[in-house]
Amino acid sequence: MSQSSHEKITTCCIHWFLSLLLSTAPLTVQGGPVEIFGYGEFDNLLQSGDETELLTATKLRVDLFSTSMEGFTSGSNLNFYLYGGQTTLNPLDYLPADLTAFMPADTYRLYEETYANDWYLDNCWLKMRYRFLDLTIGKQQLAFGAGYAWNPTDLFNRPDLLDVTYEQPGHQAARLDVATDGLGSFTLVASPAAEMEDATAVIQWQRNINRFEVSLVTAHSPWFYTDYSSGLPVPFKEDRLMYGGSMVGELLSLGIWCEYAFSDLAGDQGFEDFSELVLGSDYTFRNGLYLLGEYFWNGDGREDSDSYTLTDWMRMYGGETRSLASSQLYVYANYPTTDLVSIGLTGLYCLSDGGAALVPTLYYTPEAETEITLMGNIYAGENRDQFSEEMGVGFLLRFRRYF
Amino acid sequence: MPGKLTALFMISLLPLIPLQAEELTADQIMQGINALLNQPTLYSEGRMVIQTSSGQERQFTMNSWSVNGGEKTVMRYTAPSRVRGQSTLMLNHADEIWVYFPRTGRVRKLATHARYQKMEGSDFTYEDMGSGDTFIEDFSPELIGLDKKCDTECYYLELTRRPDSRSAYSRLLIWARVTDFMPLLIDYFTEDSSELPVKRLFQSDISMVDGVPTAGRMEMHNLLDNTVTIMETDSIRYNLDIPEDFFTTRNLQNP
Repeated sequence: MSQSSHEKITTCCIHWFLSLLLSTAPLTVQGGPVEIFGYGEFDNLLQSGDETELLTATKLRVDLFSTSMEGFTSGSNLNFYLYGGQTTLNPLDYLPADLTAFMPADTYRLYEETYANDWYLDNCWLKMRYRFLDLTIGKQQLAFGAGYAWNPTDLFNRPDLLDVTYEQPGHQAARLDVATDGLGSFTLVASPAAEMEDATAVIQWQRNINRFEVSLVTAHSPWFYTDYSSGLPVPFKEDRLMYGGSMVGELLSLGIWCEYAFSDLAGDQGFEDFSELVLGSDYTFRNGLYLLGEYFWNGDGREDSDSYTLTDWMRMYGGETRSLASSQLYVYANYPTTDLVSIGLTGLYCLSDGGAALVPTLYYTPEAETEITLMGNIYAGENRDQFSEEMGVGFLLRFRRYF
Repeated sequence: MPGKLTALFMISLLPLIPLQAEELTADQIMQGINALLNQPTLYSEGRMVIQTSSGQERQFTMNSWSVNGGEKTVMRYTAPSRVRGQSTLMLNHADEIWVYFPRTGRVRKLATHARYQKMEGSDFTYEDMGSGDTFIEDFSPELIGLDKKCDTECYYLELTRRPDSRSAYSRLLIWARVTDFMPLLIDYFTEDSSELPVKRLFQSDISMVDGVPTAGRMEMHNLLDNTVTIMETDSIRYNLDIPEDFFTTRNLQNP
């Protein structure tokens, strides 16, 4: 066993033990229960492009949860992954060929990603509640913003546009929520990093005002820019102050929301400040048909496909920017065809380059603890577009069984 | 406030009502029904069993809290695992709905139209569960007379949707026990089905809990889809001290 593997297993065991300790500590005090639950998930992704590739992923998520001590709750979960099929992918294979043509073969191969079997502690937190205060410490889920597909004020998560409701990983943080009254609250989040200057701090104020929920948020975090123009990644980093807010409510019977963030960069490296904006609306018809539309403007994106560079593509893949293009639409429709089956269709349209993608879905719950999801992805853009048809057609079969 | 006072007055008269049944107006009966169904505070633990069109059964367990006569409600699923921790906050009699999804850690606000949505595929909509005062606010009542249902003397009322109402139902027929205003049967009609009910609610297993007549079992039959949802109460308590800040989106995220 290699040194790094050994360290990893040891670290995992320590975390797992800590998790058990956190979750069972109240048990020893008051004899209350520790709940164990989770799910097993089997994903089969078939992607057809220049070549047809099949990637299979088996995931086991085990949750521990305890509320047995008054004012304290704790939770944790461990995720195990097993991969099969085509487990080595290179994102460069999906880019316009002219962007990567200059790369020597050895450099090209550096970008290969291998999906290796893995397990890790995803969340492990302890929450203390005292009157109007909630303090949560440990690795936890953090979610900000009112948007559905995009959340400019959320500096922690980068959901997959093809599957935006999939759970996001936990983040090391301390979070304090303070209720100002029955209608509002302050939230403070501090998320550490290896170097103090790379830590993220967020302050959010939130309040219900006449059926609208309004929030203002400011954050300090590092902003990353990796330059790939030479073929090899060259990282840059700037201090970022983010100012933003969101609002969600109702107008003319439509659900509406907006979210805005302005990123003020320190400017040491010459990068420019930028803004991001989300406008969204939804409606449910009496027959159950649900429609949602969202517009996203990204000041960190590009105006047209001719200006997309290798750096832009790789920054999007790496989550450094939320989109390649500056202007996009997300449309989602869902209809419950029976009490067990619902069908959905997601449409992504890039206003900047005219490319589009369609994601038809079928969701079936054959019994209470089982979900089956069929999901397609069809790209219909031109060669250099963000949703280029060069990416092919994909099909995902997901079987999830809860326990 | 006059409505609340009338309702309290009606409750105080419960033992006398059988002697004066014919003398009550439709409005007075509805105030009595409303007061009975919307107690000042409530905590319950129960099960929801959905009988699907294919004959399968789905069981959910949930806890629920409400204050101000059902004006504010929190519902939290405890099982099955698939929806465990998913919570719903309904304010202003389900005019404002918030849902917390523990898998993503997000709270999403549902617009008013979402009140027509089925809860977890059941035959109860958010409107059915959260709009406590809907009988009073959204409908005009008419007392058709006295009628027997389940061998019980009942007030037989027709409720017609008010023009400014956003209720999904155009008309209701209610059979409520003369002795205590407890509805035993409610037929729900829509504009598309004004003669045949689209849904039918049965209430049974009625017992006194903390001095309040309480239905231990509710069956909602969807007559269009041929499905049934049964809500059974395992435990219920009234007149508890539930702080107002319990009914906030912040608290919704507390598992």
